[in-house]
Amino acid sequence: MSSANSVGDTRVPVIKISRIRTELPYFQSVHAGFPSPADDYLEEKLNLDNYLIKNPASTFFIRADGDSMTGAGIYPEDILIVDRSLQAKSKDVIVAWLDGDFTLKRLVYEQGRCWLRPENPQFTAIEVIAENDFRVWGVVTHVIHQPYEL
Amino acid sequence: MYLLADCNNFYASCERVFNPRLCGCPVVVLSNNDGCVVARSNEAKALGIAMGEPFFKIKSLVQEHKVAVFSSNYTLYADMSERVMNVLQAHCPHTEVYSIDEAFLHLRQPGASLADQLEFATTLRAKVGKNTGIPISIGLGPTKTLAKLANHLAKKRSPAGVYPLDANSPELAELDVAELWGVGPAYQRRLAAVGVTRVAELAQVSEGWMQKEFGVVGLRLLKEIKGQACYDLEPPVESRKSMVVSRSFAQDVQDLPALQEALARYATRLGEKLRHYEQQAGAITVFVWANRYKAPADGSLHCSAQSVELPLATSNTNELIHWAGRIAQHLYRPGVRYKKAGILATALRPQNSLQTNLFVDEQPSLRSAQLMQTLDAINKKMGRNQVYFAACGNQPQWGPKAERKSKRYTTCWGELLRV
Repeated sequence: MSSANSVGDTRVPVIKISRIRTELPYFQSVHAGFPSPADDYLEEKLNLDNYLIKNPASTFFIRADGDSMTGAGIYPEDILIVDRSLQAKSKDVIVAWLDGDFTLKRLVYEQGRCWLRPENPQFTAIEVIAENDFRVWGVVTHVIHQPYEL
Repeated sequence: MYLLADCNNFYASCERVFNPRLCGCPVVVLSNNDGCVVARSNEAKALGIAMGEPFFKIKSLVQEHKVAVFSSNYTLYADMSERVMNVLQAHCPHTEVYSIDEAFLHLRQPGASLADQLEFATTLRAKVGKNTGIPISIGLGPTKTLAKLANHLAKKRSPAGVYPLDANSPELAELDVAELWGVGPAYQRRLAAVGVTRVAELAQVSEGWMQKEFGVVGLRLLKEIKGQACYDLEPPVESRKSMVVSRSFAQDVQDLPALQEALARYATRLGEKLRHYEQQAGAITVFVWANRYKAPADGSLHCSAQSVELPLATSNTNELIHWAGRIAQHLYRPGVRYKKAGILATALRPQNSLQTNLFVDEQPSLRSAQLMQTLDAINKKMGRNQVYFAACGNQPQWGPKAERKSKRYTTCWGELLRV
Protein backbone atom coordinates (compact mmCIF):
# COMPACT_ATOMS: atom_id res chain seq x y z
CA MET A 1 0.00 0.00 0.00
CA SER A 2 2.88 2.38 0.60
CA SER A 3 3.68 2.52 -3.10
CA ALA A 4 0.17 3.44 -4.18
CA ASN A 5 -2.06 6.45 -3.82
CA SER A 6 -5.73 5.99 -3.47
CA VAL A 7 -7.81 8.54 -5.34
CA GLY A 8 -11.49 7.89 -5.30
CA ASP A 9 -11.64 4.18 -5.97
CA THR A 10 -8.75 4.06 -8.42
CA ARG A 11 -5.27 3.14 -7.39
CA VAL A 12 -2.37 4.81 -9.07
CA PRO A 13 1.22 3.94 -8.26
CA VAL A 14 2.96 6.98 -6.77
CA ILE A 15 6.08 6.41 -8.78
CA LYS A 16 4.18 6.81 -12.05
CA ILE A 17 2.72 10.17 -11.12
CA SER A 18 6.04 11.66 -10.22
CA ARG A 19 7.67 10.36 -13.37
CA ILE A 20 5.04 11.82 -15.64
CA ARG A 21 5.13 15.17 -13.92
CA THR A 22 8.86 15.65 -13.99
CA GLU A 23 9.84 14.18 -17.30
CA LEU A 24 7.01 14.88 -19.70
CA PRO A 25 6.04 18.50 -19.39
CA TYR A 26 3.61 18.24 -22.30
CA PHE A 27 0.78 16.74 -20.38
CA GLN A 28 -0.87 19.86 -19.11
CA SER A 29 -2.47 18.05 -16.25
CA VAL A 30 -2.54 14.48 -15.12
CA HIS A 31 -5.88 13.13 -14.11
CA ALA A 32 -5.20 10.58 -11.47
CA GLY A 33 -8.37 8.66 -11.92
CA PHE A 34 -10.95 11.02 -10.43
CA PRO A 35 -13.06 12.34 -13.28
CA SER A 36 -14.21 15.94 -13.14
CA PRO A 37 -17.97 16.07 -12.65
CA ALA A 38 -17.99 19.06 -15.04
CA ASP A 39 -16.70 16.97 -17.98
CA ASP A 40 -20.19 15.98 -19.04
CA TYR A 41 -21.20 19.63 -19.27
CA LEU A 42 -18.29 20.77 -21.41
CA GLU A 43 -19.38 22.80 -24.37
CA GLU A 44 -17.42 24.70 -26.93
CA LYS A 45 -16.31 28.14 -25.80
CA LEU A 46 -18.16 31.12 -27.15
CA ASN A 47 -16.61 32.07 -30.41
CA LEU A 48 -17.03 35.53 -31.93
CA ASP A 49 -16.38 34.25 -35.44
CA ASN A 50 -19.43 32.02 -35.23
CA TYR A 51 -21.51 34.88 -33.94
CA LEU A 52 -20.38 37.59 -36.31
CA ILE A 53 -19.64 35.76 -39.54
CA LYS A 54 -22.32 33.80 -41.35
CA ASN A 55 -20.54 33.53 -44.71
CA PRO A 56 -16.76 33.32 -44.21
CA ALA A 57 -15.96 33.13 -47.95
CA SER A 58 -17.69 36.45 -48.64
CA THR A 59 -16.91 38.30 -45.41
CA PHE A 60 -14.20 40.96 -45.31
CA PHE A 61 -12.91 43.28 -42.59
CA ILE A 62 -12.64 46.94 -43.51
CA ARG A 63 -11.34 49.87 -41.45
CA ALA A 64 -13.63 52.91 -41.14
CA ASP A 65 -11.82 56.07 -42.13
CA GLY A 66 -14.15 59.09 -42.10
CA ASP A 67 -16.74 60.43 -39.63
CA SER A 68 -19.76 60.66 -41.91
CA MET A 69 -21.47 57.76 -40.11
CA THR A 70 -20.97 58.62 -36.43
CA GLY A 71 -24.75 58.77 -36.01
CA ALA A 72 -24.89 55.10 -36.91
CA GLY A 73 -22.26 54.34 -34.28
CA ILE A 74 -19.39 54.08 -36.75
CA TYR A 75 -16.29 56.05 -35.79
CA PRO A 76 -12.92 56.41 -37.48
CA GLU A 77 -10.68 53.33 -36.95
CA ASP A 78 -13.63 51.06 -36.19
CA ILE A 79 -13.55 47.69 -37.91
CA LEU A 80 -16.48 46.96 -40.18
CA ILE A 81 -17.56 43.42 -40.89
CA VAL A 82 -18.75 43.40 -44.46
CA ASP A 83 -20.57 40.58 -46.22
CA ARG A 84 -20.49 40.74 -50.02
CA SER A 85 -23.00 37.93 -50.47
CA LEU A 86 -25.94 39.90 -49.05
CA GLN A 87 -28.29 41.70 -51.38
CA ALA A 88 -28.27 45.34 -50.25
CA LYS A 89 -31.70 46.62 -49.35
CA SER A 90 -33.01 50.00 -48.26
CA LYS A 91 -31.68 51.12 -44.83
CA ASP A 92 -28.60 48.88 -45.01
CA VAL A 93 -25.24 50.47 -44.25
CA ILE A 94 -23.10 49.65 -47.26
CA VAL A 95 -19.61 49.99 -48.62
CA ALA A 96 -20.08 51.36 -52.12
CA TRP A 97 -17.92 52.32 -55.05
CA LEU A 98 -19.06 55.68 -56.38
CA ASP A 99 -17.35 57.47 -59.26
CA GLY A 100 -13.84 56.37 -58.44
CA ASP A 101 -13.95 56.29 -54.64
CA PHE A 102 -15.09 54.02 -51.86
CA THR A 103 -17.78 55.43 -49.60
CA LEU A 104 -19.55 54.23 -46.47
CA LYS A 105 -23.19 55.32 -46.26
CA ARG A 106 -26.72 54.20 -45.56
CA LEU A 107 -28.49 53.08 -48.71
CA VAL A 108 -32.01 54.46 -48.93
CA TYR A 109 -34.57 53.80 -51.65
CA GLU A 110 -37.36 56.37 -51.53
CA GLN A 111 -40.15 56.86 -54.04
CA GLY A 112 -38.15 55.40 -56.88
CA ARG A 113 -34.98 57.33 -56.04
CA CYS A 114 -31.75 55.99 -54.59
CA TRP A 115 -29.80 57.86 -51.92
CA LEU A 116 -26.51 57.40 -50.11
CA ARG A 117 -27.30 58.97 -46.78
CA PRO A 118 -24.63 59.96 -44.22
CA GLU A 119 -25.45 59.85 -40.51
CA ASN A 120 -23.82 63.08 -39.45
CA PRO A 121 -25.54 66.45 -39.94
CA GLN A 122 -22.33 67.94 -41.30
CA PHE A 123 -22.60 65.80 -44.43
CA THR A 124 -25.18 65.87 -47.18
CA ALA A 125 -26.93 62.97 -48.81
CA ILE A 126 -25.92 61.95 -52.32
CA GLU A 127 -28.50 60.93 -54.85
CA VAL A 128 -27.36 58.09 -57.08
CA ILE A 129 -28.45 58.55 -60.67
CA ALA A 130 -27.99 56.46 -63.78
CA GLU A 131 -24.92 58.49 -64.85
CA ASN A 132 -22.97 57.55 -61.71
CA ASP A 133 -20.50 54.70 -61.68
CA PHE A 134 -22.12 53.06 -58.67
CA ARG A 135 -21.62 49.58 -57.30
CA VAL A 136 -22.41 48.05 -53.92
CA TRP A 137 -19.18 46.47 -52.67
CA GLY A 138 -20.71 44.85 -49.61
CA VAL A 139 -23.19 45.18 -46.77
CA VAL A 140 -21.95 46.12 -43.28
CA THR A 141 -23.26 43.54 -40.81
CA HIS A 142 -21.40 44.57 -37.63
CA VAL A 143 -19.17 47.32 -36.32
CA ILE A 144 -16.34 46.68 -33.87
CA HIS A 145 -15.72 49.77 -31.80
CA GLN A 146 -13.14 50.26 -29.09
CA PRO A 147 -14.73 52.65 -26.57
CA TYR A 148 -11.47 54.13 -25.30
CA GLU A 149 -7.73 53.86 -25.81
CA LEU A 150 -6.58 50.74 -24.02
CA MET B 1 -21.05 16.68 -66.95
CA TYR B 2 -17.70 18.23 -66.03
CA LEU B 3 -17.28 21.95 -65.42
CA LEU B 4 -14.02 23.83 -65.39
CA ALA B 5 -14.33 27.03 -63.37
CA ASP B 6 -11.37 29.28 -64.04
CA CYS B 7 -10.77 32.74 -62.56
CA ASN B 8 -10.21 35.42 -65.18
CA ASN B 9 -6.72 36.95 -64.94
CA PHE B 10 -6.74 35.86 -61.33
CA TYR B 11 -3.91 37.93 -59.80
CA ALA B 12 -5.02 41.10 -61.58
CA SER B 13 -8.61 40.44 -60.49
CA CYS B 14 -7.54 40.08 -56.83
CA GLU B 15 -5.94 43.52 -57.02
CA ARG B 16 -9.11 44.95 -58.57
CA VAL B 17 -11.39 43.74 -55.78
CA PHE B 18 -9.75 46.20 -53.38
CA ASN B 19 -9.03 48.84 -55.99
CA PRO B 20 -11.98 49.03 -58.41
CA ARG B 21 -10.36 52.00 -60.13
CA LEU B 22 -8.23 49.43 -61.93
CA CYS B 23 -11.26 47.90 -63.64
CA GLY B 24 -10.97 48.58 -67.34
CA CYS B 25 -7.33 49.63 -66.99
CA PRO B 26 -4.26 47.58 -67.91
CA VAL B 27 -2.82 45.74 -64.89
CA VAL B 28 0.26 43.53 -64.66
CA VAL B 29 1.61 41.54 -61.73
CA LEU B 30 5.33 40.83 -61.46
CA SER B 31 7.13 37.72 -60.22
CA ASN B 32 8.60 37.34 -56.74
CA ASN B 33 11.48 39.68 -57.35
CA ASP B 34 9.71 42.19 -59.55
CA GLY B 35 11.58 40.55 -62.41
CA CYS B 36 9.06 39.32 -64.95
CA VAL B 37 5.39 39.63 -65.78
CA VAL B 38 3.43 36.71 -64.30
CA ALA B 39 -0.12 37.98 -64.81
CA ARG B 40 -1.84 40.42 -67.13
CA SER B 41 -5.31 41.88 -67.38
CA ASN B 42 -6.98 41.72 -70.81
CA GLU B 43 -6.11 45.39 -71.36
CA ALA B 44 -2.43 44.65 -70.69
CA LYS B 45 -2.57 41.68 -73.06
CA ALA B 46 -4.05 43.97 -75.71
CA LEU B 47 -1.05 46.29 -75.35
CA GLY B 48 1.13 43.37 -76.43
CA ILE B 49 2.67 42.69 -73.01
CA ALA B 50 3.69 39.04 -73.06
CA MET B 51 3.66 36.52 -70.23
CA GLY B 52 7.08 36.15 -68.65
CA GLU B 53 8.43 39.33 -70.22
CA PRO B 54 11.17 41.00 -68.14
CA PHE B 55 9.84 44.14 -66.52
CA PHE B 56 12.68 46.40 -67.70
CA LYS B 57 11.71 45.65 -71.31
CA ILE B 58 8.17 46.99 -70.91
CA LYS B 59 8.94 50.02 -68.76
CA SER B 60 8.30 52.58 -71.50
CA LEU B 61 5.09 50.82 -72.53
CA VAL B 62 3.97 50.89 -68.90
CA GLN B 63 4.61 54.62 -68.63
CA GLU B 64 3.00 55.48 -71.92
CA HIS B 65 -0.22 53.58 -71.23
CA LYS B 66 -0.38 54.10 -67.46
CA VAL B 67 -0.27 50.39 -66.75
CA ALA B 68 -0.81 49.58 -63.07
CA VAL B 69 2.10 47.41 -61.92
CA PHE B 70 2.06 45.23 -58.81
CA SER B 71 4.57 43.01 -57.06
CA SER B 72 2.98 39.65 -56.49
CA ASN B 73 1.06 39.51 -53.23
CA TYR B 74 0.70 35.76 -52.76
CA THR B 75 -0.76 36.14 -49.28
CA LEU B 76 -3.70 38.00 -50.77
CA TYR B 77 -4.02 35.71 -53.80
CA ALA B 78 -4.02 32.57 -51.64
CA ASP B 79 -6.76 33.95 -49.40
CA MET B 80 -8.90 35.03 -52.34
CA SER B 81 -8.39 31.63 -54.00
CA GLU B 82 -9.61 29.88 -50.89
CA ARG B 83 -12.75 32.03 -50.88
CA VAL B 84 -13.49 31.25 -54.54
CA MET B 85 -12.97 27.52 -53.95
CA ASN B 86 -15.21 27.62 -50.88
CA VAL B 87 -18.07 29.13 -52.86
CA LEU B 88 -17.63 26.50 -55.61
CA GLN B 89 -17.55 23.68 -53.08
CA ALA B 90 -20.60 25.02 -51.30
CA HIS B 91 -22.59 24.58 -54.52
CA CYS B 92 -21.09 21.36 -55.83
CA PRO B 93 -19.80 18.67 -53.49
CA HIS B 94 -17.74 17.02 -56.22
CA THR B 95 -15.02 19.59 -56.69
CA GLU B 96 -11.33 19.19 -57.43
CA VAL B 97 -9.19 22.25 -56.79
CA TYR B 98 -6.85 22.00 -59.75
CA SER B 99 -4.68 25.08 -59.24
CA ILE B 100 -4.78 28.41 -57.40
CA ASP B 101 -7.35 29.72 -59.90
CA GLU B 102 -9.03 26.64 -61.42
CA ALA B 103 -11.34 23.90 -60.20
CA PHE B 104 -13.06 20.98 -61.88
CA LEU B 105 -16.63 20.32 -60.81
CA HIS B 106 -18.56 17.16 -61.59
CA LEU B 107 -22.32 17.55 -61.83
CA ARG B 108 -23.97 14.26 -61.01
CA GLN B 109 -27.54 14.90 -62.00
CA PRO B 110 -28.44 12.16 -64.48
CA GLY B 111 -31.73 13.66 -65.61
CA ALA B 112 -30.58 17.26 -65.96
CA SER B 113 -30.87 18.84 -69.40
CA LEU B 114 -28.13 20.94 -70.93
CA ALA B 115 -30.26 24.01 -70.27
CA ASP B 116 -30.41 23.12 -66.56
CA GLN B 117 -26.66 22.65 -66.43
CA LEU B 118 -26.03 25.92 -68.22
CA GLU B 119 -28.30 27.67 -65.78
CA PHE B 120 -26.46 26.10 -62.85
CA ALA B 121 -23.15 27.31 -64.30
CA THR B 122 -24.48 30.80 -64.93
CA THR B 123 -25.84 31.11 -61.40
CA LEU B 124 -22.62 29.76 -59.93
CA ARG B 125 -20.55 32.21 -61.92
CA ALA B 126 -22.70 35.12 -60.72
CA LYS B 127 -22.44 33.90 -57.14
CA VAL B 128 -18.64 33.69 -57.16
CA GLY B 129 -18.51 37.14 -58.75
CA LYS B 130 -20.78 38.68 -56.15
CA ASN B 131 -19.43 36.94 -53.06
CA THR B 132 -15.73 37.29 -53.76
CA GLY B 133 -15.45 39.98 -56.44
CA ILE B 134 -13.48 37.59 -58.66
CA PRO B 135 -14.83 37.08 -62.19
CA ILE B 136 -14.74 33.49 -63.40
CA SER B 137 -15.48 31.63 -66.62
CA ILE B 138 -16.99 28.19 -66.80
CA GLY B 139 -16.55 25.61 -69.55
CA LEU B 140 -18.84 22.58 -69.66
CA GLY B 141 -18.19 19.22 -71.32
CA PRO B 142 -18.76 15.49 -70.94
CA THR B 143 -15.03 15.05 -70.16
CA LYS B 144 -12.44 17.13 -68.34
CA THR B 145 -10.55 17.73 -71.59
CA LEU B 146 -13.64 19.11 -73.34
CA ALA B 147 -14.60 21.19 -70.28
CA LYS B 148 -11.13 22.71 -70.26
CA LEU B 149 -11.33 23.44 -73.99
CA ALA B 150 -14.80 24.93 -73.51
CA ASN B 151 -13.35 27.26 -70.91
CA HIS B 152 -11.13 28.90 -73.56
CA LEU B 153 -14.28 29.66 -75.51
CA ALA B 154 -16.12 30.88 -72.43
CA LYS B 155 -13.33 33.45 -71.98
CA LYS B 156 -13.01 34.45 -75.63
CA ARG B 157 -16.47 34.18 -77.10
CA SER B 158 -19.09 34.26 -74.41
CA PRO B 159 -20.13 37.53 -72.78
CA ALA B 160 -21.97 35.38 -70.23
CA GLY B 161 -18.69 33.60 -69.39
CA VAL B 162 -20.24 30.15 -69.75
CA TYR B 163 -19.72 27.81 -72.73
CA PRO B 164 -20.60 24.18 -73.39
CA LEU B 165 -18.85 21.78 -75.78
CA ASP B 166 -19.46 18.16 -76.63
CA ALA B 167 -17.86 15.72 -79.04
CA ASN B 168 -20.14 16.88 -81.87
CA SER B 169 -19.73 20.63 -81.42
CA PRO B 170 -18.96 22.31 -84.77
CA GLU B 171 -16.39 24.53 -82.98
CA LEU B 172 -14.03 21.55 -82.82
CA ALA B 173 -13.42 21.90 -86.58
CA GLU B 174 -11.79 25.30 -86.10
CA LEU B 175 -10.04 24.85 -82.76
CA ASP B 176 -6.32 24.21 -82.89
CA VAL B 177 -5.02 21.03 -81.22
CA ALA B 178 -2.57 23.25 -79.34
CA GLU B 179 -5.53 24.51 -77.28
CA LEU B 180 -6.02 21.03 -75.85
CA TRP B 181 -5.09 20.21 -72.29
CA GLY B 182 -1.67 18.56 -72.28
CA VAL B 183 -0.79 19.21 -75.93
CA GLY B 184 2.54 21.00 -76.03
CA PRO B 185 4.58 22.22 -79.01
CA ALA B 186 6.31 18.85 -79.50
CA TYR B 187 2.99 17.00 -79.57
CA GLN B 188 1.62 19.61 -81.92
CA ARG B 189 4.52 19.20 -84.39
CA ARG B 190 4.14 15.42 -84.49
CA LEU B 191 0.44 15.75 -85.18
CA ALA B 192 1.00 18.44 -87.82
CA ALA B 193 3.43 16.07 -89.57
CA VAL B 194 0.53 13.74 -90.33
CA GLY B 195 -1.79 16.60 -91.26
CA VAL B 196 -3.69 16.92 -87.98
CA THR B 197 -3.99 20.52 -86.80
CA ARG B 198 -7.63 20.84 -85.68
CA VAL B 199 -9.34 19.15 -82.77
CA ALA B 200 -12.03 17.66 -85.06
CA GLU B 201 -9.29 16.14 -87.24
CA LEU B 202 -7.67 14.58 -84.21
CA ALA B 203 -11.01 13.04 -83.24
CA GLN B 204 -10.96 11.15 -86.57
CA VAL B 205 -7.64 9.31 -86.13
CA SER B 206 -7.76 5.66 -85.14
CA GLU B 207 -7.28 4.67 -81.53
CA GLY B 208 -4.68 2.07 -82.53
CA TRP B 209 -2.55 4.68 -84.30
CA MET B 210 -2.89 7.11 -81.42
CA GLN B 211 -1.81 4.50 -78.88
CA LYS B 212 1.14 3.42 -81.04
CA GLU B 213 2.33 7.00 -81.55
CA PHE B 214 1.50 8.66 -78.25
CA GLY B 215 1.01 5.81 -75.80
CA VAL B 216 -1.77 5.47 -73.32
CA VAL B 217 -1.81 9.18 -72.51
CA GLY B 218 -2.44 9.97 -76.17
CA LEU B 219 -5.15 7.33 -76.35
CA ARG B 220 -6.90 8.86 -73.36
CA LEU B 221 -6.70 12.31 -74.92
CA LEU B 222 -8.35 10.94 -78.07
CA LYS B 223 -11.12 9.23 -76.10
CA GLU B 224 -11.70 12.35 -74.04
CA ILE B 225 -12.22 14.58 -77.09
CA LYS B 226 -14.59 11.90 -78.43
CA GLY B 227 -16.61 12.35 -75.28
CA GLN B 228 -15.55 9.23 -73.33
CA ALA B 229 -14.38 10.32 -69.89
CA CYS B 230 -11.01 8.81 -68.95
CA TYR B 231 -10.16 11.17 -66.12
CA ASP B 232 -12.25 11.44 -63.00
CA LEU B 233 -11.88 14.08 -60.30
CA GLU B 234 -8.61 13.60 -58.47
CA PRO B 235 -9.00 13.05 -54.78
CA PRO B 236 -7.49 15.86 -52.70
CA VAL B 237 -3.85 15.39 -51.80
CA GLU B 238 -3.91 13.92 -48.31
CA SER B 239 -0.26 14.06 -47.56
CA ARG B 240 2.44 15.44 -49.75
CA LYS B 241 5.57 13.67 -50.84
CA SER B 242 7.77 16.71 -50.54
CA MET B 243 7.73 20.36 -49.63
CA VAL B 244 9.92 23.11 -50.95
CA VAL B 245 10.75 26.73 -50.17
CA SER B 246 12.90 28.57 -52.67
CA ARG B 247 13.32 32.18 -53.72
CA SER B 248 15.50 34.35 -55.91
CA PHE B 249 17.58 37.06 -54.33
CA ALA B 250 17.06 40.72 -55.18
CA GLN B 251 20.81 41.04 -55.50
CA ASP B 252 23.34 38.29 -56.10
CA VAL B 253 24.72 36.88 -52.87
CA GLN B 254 28.45 36.32 -52.73
CA ASP B 255 29.41 35.58 -49.15
CA LEU B 256 28.63 32.52 -47.10
CA PRO B 257 27.06 34.21 -44.05
CA ALA B 258 24.51 36.00 -46.25
CA LEU B 259 23.73 32.75 -48.06
CA GLN B 260 23.27 30.98 -44.73
CA GLU B 261 21.07 33.79 -43.49
CA ALA B 262 18.81 33.46 -46.51
CA LEU B 263 18.65 29.70 -46.07
CA ALA B 264 17.83 30.15 -42.38
CA ARG B 265 14.80 32.20 -43.43
CA TYR B 266 13.69 29.55 -45.90
CA ALA B 267 14.25 26.87 -43.25
CA THR B 268 12.03 28.88 -40.92
CA ARG B 269 9.29 28.99 -43.53
CA LEU B 270 9.77 25.29 -44.28
CA GLY B 271 9.41 24.47 -40.59
CA GLU B 272 6.19 26.47 -40.38
CA LYS B 273 4.84 24.69 -43.45
CA LEU B 274 5.76 21.26 -42.14
CA ARG B 275 4.12 21.95 -38.79
CA HIS B 276 1.07 23.42 -40.46
CA TYR B 277 0.53 20.20 -42.41
CA GLU B 278 1.57 18.12 -39.38
CA GLN B 279 4.48 16.57 -41.25
CA GLN B 280 8.09 15.90 -40.43
CA ALA B 281 10.98 15.80 -42.88
CA GLY B 282 13.15 12.69 -42.96
CA ALA B 283 15.64 14.31 -45.29
CA ILE B 284 16.40 17.75 -46.64
CA THR B 285 18.12 18.95 -49.79
CA VAL B 286 19.59 22.40 -50.21
CA PHE B 287 19.93 23.93 -53.69
CA VAL B 288 21.93 26.96 -54.70
CA TRP B 289 21.78 28.50 -58.15
CA ALA B 290 24.63 30.62 -59.49
CA ASN B 291 23.83 33.56 -61.71
CA ARG B 292 24.51 31.90 -65.03
CA TYR B 293 25.14 35.20 -66.77
CA LYS B 294 27.89 36.15 -64.38
CA ALA B 295 29.40 32.72 -63.83
CA PRO B 296 33.10 32.42 -63.15
CA ALA B 297 34.96 30.97 -66.08
CA ASP B 298 36.05 27.87 -64.18
CA GLY B 299 33.15 25.88 -65.55
CA SER B 300 31.55 25.31 -62.14
CA LEU B 301 27.97 24.16 -62.17
CA HIS B 302 25.07 26.54 -62.49
CA CYS B 303 23.08 24.71 -59.84
CA SER B 304 24.44 22.56 -57.08
CA ALA B 305 22.61 20.63 -54.42
CA GLN B 306 23.28 18.35 -51.53
CA SER B 307 21.01 16.24 -49.38
CA VAL B 308 21.21 14.98 -45.86
CA GLU B 309 19.20 12.26 -44.23
CA LEU B 310 18.23 13.52 -40.80
CA PRO B 311 18.98 11.38 -37.75
CA LEU B 312 15.41 11.93 -36.58
CA ALA B 313 12.60 13.19 -38.77
CA THR B 314 11.82 16.73 -37.72
CA SER B 315 9.78 19.85 -38.34
CA ASN B 316 11.87 21.81 -35.89
CA THR B 317 13.07 25.12 -37.30
CA ASN B 318 16.23 25.10 -35.22
CA GLU B 319 17.32 21.77 -36.66
CA LEU B 320 16.36 22.68 -40.19
CA ILE B 321 18.43 25.88 -39.91
CA HIS B 322 21.33 23.89 -38.53
CA TRP B 323 21.35 21.39 -41.40
CA ALA B 324 20.68 23.97 -44.09
CA GLY B 325 23.64 26.00 -42.83
CA ARG B 326 25.91 22.94 -42.76
CA ILE B 327 24.99 21.98 -46.32
CA ALA B 328 25.45 25.57 -47.50
CA GLN B 329 28.98 25.39 -46.11
CA HIS B 330 29.68 22.37 -48.32
CA LEU B 331 28.12 23.87 -51.41
CA TYR B 332 29.55 27.35 -51.11
CA ARG B 333 32.31 28.35 -53.56
CA PRO B 334 33.99 31.73 -53.10
CA GLY B 335 33.65 34.05 -56.06
CA VAL B 336 30.34 32.60 -57.27
CA ARG B 337 27.43 35.03 -57.49
CA TYR B 338 24.41 33.20 -56.12
CA LYS B 339 21.07 34.14 -57.61
CA LYS B 340 18.68 31.79 -55.88
CA ALA B 341 18.55 29.16 -53.15
CA GLY B 342 16.03 26.70 -51.83
CA ILE B 343 15.37 23.88 -49.41
CA LEU B 344 13.45 20.73 -50.23
CA ALA B 345 12.03 18.50 -47.53
CA THR B 346 11.53 14.85 -48.49
CA ALA B 347 10.77 11.52 -46.83
CA LEU B 348 7.84 13.25 -45.16
CA ARG B 349 5.93 11.43 -42.48
CA PRO B 350 3.07 12.39 -40.23
CA GLN B 351 4.10 14.33 -37.17
CA ASN B 352 2.86 11.82 -34.67
CA SER B 353 4.25 8.66 -36.20
CA LEU B 354 6.70 7.00 -33.88
CA GLN B 355 10.29 7.04 -34.96
CA THR B 356 13.18 6.47 -32.63
CA ASN B 357 16.90 6.36 -33.02
CA LEU B 358 19.00 4.49 -30.52
CA PHE B 359 21.81 7.01 -30.83
CA VAL B 360 19.82 10.20 -30.53
CA ASP B 361 18.40 11.45 -27.28
CA GLU B 362 14.73 12.24 -27.80
CA GLN B 363 14.27 14.48 -24.81
CA PRO B 364 15.73 17.73 -26.16
CA SER B 365 13.79 17.41 -29.40
CA LEU B 366 10.57 16.87 -27.51
CA ARG B 367 11.19 19.97 -25.47
CA SER B 368 11.83 22.06 -28.56
CA ALA B 369 8.59 20.79 -30.08
CA GLN B 370 6.90 22.81 -27.41
CA LEU B 371 9.12 25.77 -28.23
CA MET B 372 7.98 25.51 -31.87
CA GLN B 373 4.36 25.44 -30.76
CA THR B 374 4.89 28.60 -28.74
CA LEU B 375 6.77 30.25 -31.59
CA ASP B 376 3.99 29.44 -34.06
CA ALA B 377 1.35 30.68 -31.63
CA ILE B 378 3.13 34.01 -31.16
CA ASN B 379 3.74 34.52 -34.88
CA LYS B 380 0.19 33.58 -35.67
CA LYS B 381 -1.17 36.06 -33.18
CA MET B 382 1.24 38.93 -33.72
CA GLY B 383 2.03 38.53 -37.43
CA ARG B 384 4.58 36.50 -39.34
CA ASN B 385 8.23 36.77 -38.28
CA GLN B 386 7.59 38.62 -35.05
CA VAL B 387 9.81 36.06 -33.34
CA TYR B 388 12.56 34.33 -35.29
CA PHE B 389 15.95 32.74 -34.94
CA ALA B 390 18.96 35.05 -34.89
CA ALA B 391 20.45 32.99 -37.73
CA CYS B 392 17.91 34.63 -40.03
CA GLY B 393 19.64 37.97 -39.65
CA ASN B 394 18.09 41.34 -39.12
CA GLN B 395 18.26 43.30 -42.31
CA PRO B 396 18.35 41.02 -45.25
CA GLN B 397 20.01 42.47 -48.35
CA TRP B 398 18.94 39.43 -50.30
CA GLY B 399 15.22 39.73 -49.59
CA PRO B 400 12.74 40.00 -52.42
CA LYS B 401 12.21 43.46 -53.83
CA ALA B 402 8.41 43.58 -53.92
CA GLU B 403 8.46 47.34 -54.26
CA ARG B 404 4.95 47.58 -55.63
CA LYS B 405 3.13 45.17 -53.39
CA SER B 406 -0.47 45.94 -52.53
CA LYS B 407 -1.72 45.57 -48.96
CA ARG B 408 -2.55 42.22 -47.39
CA TYR B 409 -6.17 43.28 -47.15
CA THR B 410 -7.50 39.97 -45.88
CA THR B 411 -4.80 38.65 -43.57
CA CYS B 412 -3.33 41.57 -41.66
CA TRP B 413 -5.15 43.89 -39.24
CA GLY B 414 -2.76 46.72 -40.01
CA GLU B 415 -3.39 46.57 -43.75
CA LEU B 416 -7.16 46.52 -44.04
CA LEU B 417 -8.94 48.41 -46.80
CA ARG B 418 -9.92 51.86 -45.47
CA VAL B 419 -13.31 53.29 -46.34
